[in-house]
Amino acid sequence: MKLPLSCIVVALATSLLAACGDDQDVDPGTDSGATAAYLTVSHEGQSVKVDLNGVAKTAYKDVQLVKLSDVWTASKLPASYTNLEFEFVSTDGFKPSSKEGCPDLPGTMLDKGYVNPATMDMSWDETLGLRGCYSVNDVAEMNGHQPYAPADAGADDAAGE
Amino acid sequence: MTTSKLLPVLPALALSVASPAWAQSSAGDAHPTPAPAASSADSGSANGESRRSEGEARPLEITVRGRRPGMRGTTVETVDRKTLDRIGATNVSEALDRLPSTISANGSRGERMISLRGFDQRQILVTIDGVPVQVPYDGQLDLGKFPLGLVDHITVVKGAGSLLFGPNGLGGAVDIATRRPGEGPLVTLATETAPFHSQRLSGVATTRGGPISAIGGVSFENVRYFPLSSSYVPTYNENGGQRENSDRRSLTAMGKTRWEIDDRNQIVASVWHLDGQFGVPPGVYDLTRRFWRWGDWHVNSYAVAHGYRDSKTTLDETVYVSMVGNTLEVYDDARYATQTLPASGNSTYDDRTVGGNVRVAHRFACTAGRCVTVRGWAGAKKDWHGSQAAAGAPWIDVDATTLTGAAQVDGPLGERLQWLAGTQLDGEIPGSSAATGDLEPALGVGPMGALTYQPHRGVDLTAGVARRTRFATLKERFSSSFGNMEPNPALGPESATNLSLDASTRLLRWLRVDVGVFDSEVRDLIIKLPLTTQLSQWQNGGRARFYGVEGSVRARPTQWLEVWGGWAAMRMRRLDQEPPDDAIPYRPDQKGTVAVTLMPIPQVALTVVGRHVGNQRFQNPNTMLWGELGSHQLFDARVDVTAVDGLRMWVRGTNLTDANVQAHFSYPEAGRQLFVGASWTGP
Repeated sequence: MKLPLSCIVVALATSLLAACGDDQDVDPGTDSGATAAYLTVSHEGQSVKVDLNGVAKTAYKDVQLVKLSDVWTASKLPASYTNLEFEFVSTDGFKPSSKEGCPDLPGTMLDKGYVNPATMDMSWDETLGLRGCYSVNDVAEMNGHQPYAPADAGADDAAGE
Repeated sequence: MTTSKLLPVLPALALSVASPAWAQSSAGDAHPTPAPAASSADSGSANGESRRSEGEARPLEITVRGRRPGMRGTTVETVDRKTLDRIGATNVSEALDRLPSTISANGSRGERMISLRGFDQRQILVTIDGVPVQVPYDGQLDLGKFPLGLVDHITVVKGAGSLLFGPNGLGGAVDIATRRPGEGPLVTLATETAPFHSQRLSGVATTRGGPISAIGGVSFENVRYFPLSSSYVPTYNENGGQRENSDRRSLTAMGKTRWEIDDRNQIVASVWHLDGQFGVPPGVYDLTRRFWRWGDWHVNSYAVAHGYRDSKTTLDETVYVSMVGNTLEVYDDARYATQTLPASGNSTYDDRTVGGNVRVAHRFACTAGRCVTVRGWAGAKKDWHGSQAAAGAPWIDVDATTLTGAAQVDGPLGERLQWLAGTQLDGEIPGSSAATGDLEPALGVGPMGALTYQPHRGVDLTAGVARRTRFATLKERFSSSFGNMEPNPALGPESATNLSLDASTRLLRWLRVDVGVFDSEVRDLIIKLPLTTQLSQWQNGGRARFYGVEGSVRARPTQWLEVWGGWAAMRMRRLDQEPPDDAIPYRPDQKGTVAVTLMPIPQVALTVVGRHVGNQRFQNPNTMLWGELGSHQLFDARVDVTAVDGLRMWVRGTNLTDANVQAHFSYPEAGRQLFVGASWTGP
């Protein structure tokens, strides 16, 4: 008597497995649409307000971001960004260089830097291994200038959390 | 897709169906390990009153007495050794995750933290053999690093029922109990392997000679990786197959000695040690991947207790020292070999806790076997944190002292009523330094009351209310998080008022049904608030409400069938925010667990465990948009065969449908895994 009943229970359990074992659906969050997103780019007294919604986006790890070098190109400022250094300024005035070990970055890195037009938060290609101070939130300005000194990008400190 | 994913499982299930005949012919008259002696809903399963909960606690033990008002129904769950084996968990977090109102998930630090009825782990008091265990700085500790090999049972006390265990149990308490010295089998050895990627070994031996008894155990875990589901879609950060950097290796050892001085007095000393190295799997969707490893992660805990017991009074005093340390290694890339980039380096914690407590219980005014009982609990502990953010960086040292006193009285009120009243006072004295200045002490007052009505011998109803306090952790106060956080040394405590109403029925001897509703409101909730675009601070700026209904069923209608299940429907939200920002991340709206064990013959047990986890909201770290993890189901099964007396072998599978599931966004859970194991229990 026990064995047939065991078989029935196992069969029921198997059916349950077959009926319910689907993969999970994930909604990563839906953007409600484009919002105004401007980044002011400046160099040697010239300043251009770039509309990020008018700049081609780049998929970095499947997230649509705007590459900083494309922002510079869209600004149509005459200099070559690879010969400059850049500081980034948030809406409330924060600059990475205000922190120890976070000097302005060489323009050669702009190809590996991104701004998210939905949040105006910056991120960098992880292969650069930059410190967290460069991930400026709510960035408003990207200012190019001639290099002050050889860039070291804060290589003397380590960071975890 | 589902059917195809199920195909590899079918042979195992077929084996489980066929195994009775095989086992019967080969095992002969072996003793029935899985089948308890009595056909009672209480015997050897999860939840409720176990043998251990009878009477008052002994030194270095926390027991909860089911007859005490406020400690009934769904408010208290005890998961015993046999259930821990059957539900297919390998560590404490996984075991707790099998309970309906508890959630656990791997996060960005590779830690498997839990939440209980909406409260996160910092808001839950966690103890091992009654001694608080946590990283003093964080106020929590990854229970996923604690293997179950040396654990005897786990007790979970929720919401209103958590008085008299110590400070900071805002939403409940979890006690992990190891075996008692001198009791149970002399030797237990167990091994389990998932071929080619995972091995676990454990051994426990106990002895008794006159008034002295001792127990010692070792547990070793070596996991090379865990596999991802075959449905996992590769991303830039994770190709699938073997989960990157998911290896773990740990050694856990424990020892306990009990000296029974005379009929009334005994002394117990215990040592607990865990040392391991753990990879931190990176987020599969993270824009900036983290290449982290815990190169060193250790906990050492030492405790000594004296206990006194006579016919009316129990008293024990305990002192303990815990040392928790770890080194987080940050590497350049997925080779986990070099630390040359600016963000790379090591971060080290060196924390410790010293404390002690006194418990007393005295019974008096007894009539017809029912007494009034007065209980008291007083304790003090000091937490120190030392950390170094990078090699050569200055050490940061902060500390805090916590004092707790609690008194509680319970007793009968006529034939059918029982009452309980008590209060707990918690005080905290933060350490002062030149950096922090003089800080004000904080005080928490936690009254509690409960009333139980027993309209029928098999039915009781309990209403409970308790107010609890949690002091801010040292991290919440002092962390600068490498310049992203503004320390707030004067951060105040948060408090919760927990209400519960429980009904427990045992109208049939083989069936127990518990149903409870709970409602907790948290005030002065400690939340992270932005100060500037780059800087945040922990502040007492929030309010939250967690409420829901929870039920559990435990049935053993025959000797060969045992069913345990539970369901919780929960709503957790912030009261200080408007939708959708009122969501509390990673709190499912419902969760259910069912475990069915079949014992067609005494030598064989088949257990199938299913879990359903409802939708969970979360905030996408890449976009800051609110997203949703859909509901998911996970199924585990195992077959236990007791071939000869004391020798048990098993085959078990987890996530049998190989479902691709994330319990935390960007951190997929393991796909299907199959394990084989054996244990031998000596005389």
